[in-house]
Amino acid sequence: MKRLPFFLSFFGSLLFLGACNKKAEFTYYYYEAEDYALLSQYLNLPSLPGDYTVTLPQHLVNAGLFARPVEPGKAILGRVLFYDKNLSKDGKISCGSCHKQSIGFSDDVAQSKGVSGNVTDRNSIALASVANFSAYYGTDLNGPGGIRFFWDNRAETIAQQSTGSLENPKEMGMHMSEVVDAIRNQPYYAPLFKKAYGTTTVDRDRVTEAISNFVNAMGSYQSKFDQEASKEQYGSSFKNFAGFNAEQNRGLKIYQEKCSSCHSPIMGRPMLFLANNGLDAVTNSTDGGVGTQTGNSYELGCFKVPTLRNVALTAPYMHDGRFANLEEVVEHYNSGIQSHVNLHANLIVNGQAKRMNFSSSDKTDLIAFLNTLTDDKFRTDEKFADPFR
Amino acid sequence: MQLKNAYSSFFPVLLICLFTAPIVAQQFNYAPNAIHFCQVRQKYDSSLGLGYSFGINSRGADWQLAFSPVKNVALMMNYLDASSKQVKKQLIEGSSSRFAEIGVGAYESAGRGVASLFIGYGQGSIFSNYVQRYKASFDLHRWFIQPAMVFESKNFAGGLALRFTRLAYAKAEVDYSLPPEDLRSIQAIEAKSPIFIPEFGMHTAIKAGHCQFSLNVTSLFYDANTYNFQRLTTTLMLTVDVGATYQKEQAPGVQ
Repeated sequence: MKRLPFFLSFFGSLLFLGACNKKAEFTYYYYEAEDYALLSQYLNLPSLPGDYTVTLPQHLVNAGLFARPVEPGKAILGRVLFYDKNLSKDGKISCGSCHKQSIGFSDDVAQSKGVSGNVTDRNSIALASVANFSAYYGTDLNGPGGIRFFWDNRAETIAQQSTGSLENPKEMGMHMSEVVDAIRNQPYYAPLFKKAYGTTTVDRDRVTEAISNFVNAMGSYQSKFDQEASKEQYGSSFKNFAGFNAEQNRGLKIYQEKCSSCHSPIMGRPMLFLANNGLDAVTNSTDGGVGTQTGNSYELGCFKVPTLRNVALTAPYMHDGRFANLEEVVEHYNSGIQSHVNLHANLIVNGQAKRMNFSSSDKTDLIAFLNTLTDDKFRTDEKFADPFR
Repeated sequence: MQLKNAYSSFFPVLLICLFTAPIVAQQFNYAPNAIHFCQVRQKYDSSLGLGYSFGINSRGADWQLAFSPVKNVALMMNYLDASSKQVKKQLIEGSSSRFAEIGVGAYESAGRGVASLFIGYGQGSIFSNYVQRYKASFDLHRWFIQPAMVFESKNFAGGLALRFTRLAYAKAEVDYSLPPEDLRSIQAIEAKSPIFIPEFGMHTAIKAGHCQFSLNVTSLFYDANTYNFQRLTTTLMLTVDVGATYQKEQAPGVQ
């Protein structure tokens, strides 16, 4: 009997260590089965939501930027709303019609097609030109310093911006009350609202909040430039990247010297909210930009200064899409800047419109650098794609 | 005199506070039951304990039964029910746990001490209800090896034990909408299961006839935060020495 403890120890150890090693069977579900079956009739959504967490790279974090958390249920609902053509007057246009993921959520025409054969007043802004909206856009999230929306900065929040586009008769042409009704009429929204908000109630605040969550979940920060810049722990301007070729590094240098004082040296928050960049000597009588909105004469002919992420994908360029390619844009800054009365000081030398005087190789190098800003992962990321079957 | 009064009122107040204290963190993915300090000393000794267990995020009933069918060998059964119908009905957030186990072991009494070594196996389930009625449920299995020492005098008893636990999560159904930190802890369990957890137990008791009133503390030596385990369970337990009572009532001759 005295051997019993030893026997127990031995036997117990064997039992303990050799006990069934079957792998745990964990089942995760997101939608109720019947809800997912309903959704799957209309939408190609994964059974589990994608990871909508935005983790900005180190060089943007060093600049004090951080992305706000996004609620996955609301982001998924926002994704469906973003691509739903039922939310337009003629059922043919969605937000995604003018913000195409494959080209950086921009459009490939100067003025996009809206409802009933209309065209938009301005060029569609590339949503992928921004690292992450929540990090520096919107006065609701970033206070008075938050960058505003539209080329003329007339909207303070994504909610205002999306409402503006939904209600614009040249874009989607629906009053928000009609949008809410249209959503109520689609069977696939009930489970999506339930997941996002706990109830199926549809109202305009929920609609715009969901779209805001989707847009704030967008993060374009995995370009070749970001890969290299994130290795520079404390840099706010860069000289040479080991992963760049000579042409790209020369282009980087030109960008830092000639362009970054407006567009951001780290492709984060733009240095200027708005500027007149000398497109015209005289303000366009039909589109005075920010000045038309504010009534300030000193802001006439001024427009939003975008960041240049994915810029190689987002032609045509400028608020009116006047430049068909990057070569034309570079040539404008090289030799075409007009002496507008509101021309920004960064583009004036000795009282005259600046001439960059790029050499032919400078232009090639600069464009080679701009191509490093393309984020192929983002423009092919399934969780931002059109979910409709 | 005033000091004495203060002491005498301290413990009842402490107990009331413990029983009524609000649960701070609401869900857990594992809450240890009280380590069973088996105190049988001879053949046919048996004991039945009923305890109230509480941790930072659970409250429940803990049952312990021990019996020695032959000299130096004992069986034990333990059951923990830290559930709340309100949780099960999804009326409040929290976790509900039920766990039963059996063990067999050897003991040796010498003087005032009893040394024991038990091995055992148990099964249980945990159900958690989260915000917006999101749910997670687990079926879990547990193997253990438990060496323990208990010392007792006429009026007091105390003991120390280790319980080497192998915790296997056999099955789980988890709503992916759980708050991210809770989901991460469950995914960490999935990646790690089965999990080896050393647990430490401490036991102090006041004896009164065939009854003893004890305070058990069971603690995990593990990264409880990552897996959302309850690190500490405290149990107030009333144990009746059933065998002794039974033997007293029987005619002499039963050994």
